[in-house]
Amino acid sequence: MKNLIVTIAIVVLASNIIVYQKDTCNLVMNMNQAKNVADEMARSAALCIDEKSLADGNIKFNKTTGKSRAKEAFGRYKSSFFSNVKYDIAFDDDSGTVKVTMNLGKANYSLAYLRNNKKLKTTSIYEYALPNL
Amino acid sequence: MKNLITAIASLVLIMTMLMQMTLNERNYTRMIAIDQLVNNFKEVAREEGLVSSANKSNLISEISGATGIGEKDITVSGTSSRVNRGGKISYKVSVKMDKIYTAPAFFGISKEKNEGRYVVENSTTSEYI
Repeated sequence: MKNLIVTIAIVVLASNIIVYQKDTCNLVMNMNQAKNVADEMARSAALCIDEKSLADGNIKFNKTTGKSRAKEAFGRYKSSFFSNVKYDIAFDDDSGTVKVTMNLGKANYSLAYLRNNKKLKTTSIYEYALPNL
Repeated sequence: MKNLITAIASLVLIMTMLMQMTLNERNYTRMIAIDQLVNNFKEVAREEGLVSSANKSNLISEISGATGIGEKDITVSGTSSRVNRGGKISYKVSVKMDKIYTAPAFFGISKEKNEGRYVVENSTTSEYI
């Protein structure tokens, strides 16, 4: 009986560790993926430059096209993790940068005692550089 | 004797779980490394405007070197014609993952069911001028 109780206790503990390990690794992978998605969105949006302004030597982003390109880039990632992710794009014509901020929500831990209210987010800033021709 | 038999049975079960933890860690580490290497590969493809054969073979050897997976078990494909700035470059990387569960014979899992493929399929925006 003593052996059985100890075994059950160890199995329960080990199961908890395996679930924690799976959740943590998924979280790390999703965070890395989110950073890549944010980079891709910022880059896609930053490549949409108003050609008329560029001809005058100024960088002015075409915000409408930029936002739709960023949305398209976001849509390429079909992982369920991104279904609840909210993002925000900020264009700065003066510095020639596009900033994408992603609010990833709370970490999705299966074990109730590990859940907390801390919200995760990731940011990517892309600076448009004029090509050296 | 009774205690010995139960202890052996318990130990086998516990050892299996411990080994599964280690195996999980190895598999997750592999997947994270593959993601990172594919990201580097994507950056090069973006600059070049295509998925070049040099970039492909570089990715294959890097994945093989970092994870220990044989080069023949890694396939890379993607846009092979040059795309100009703003265009889309598609790519697909597929890596065979073996030994997903530990002690498959103990749980009656066949070799075919104990392996799978980790696939990264996506596209990126070209910056080639």
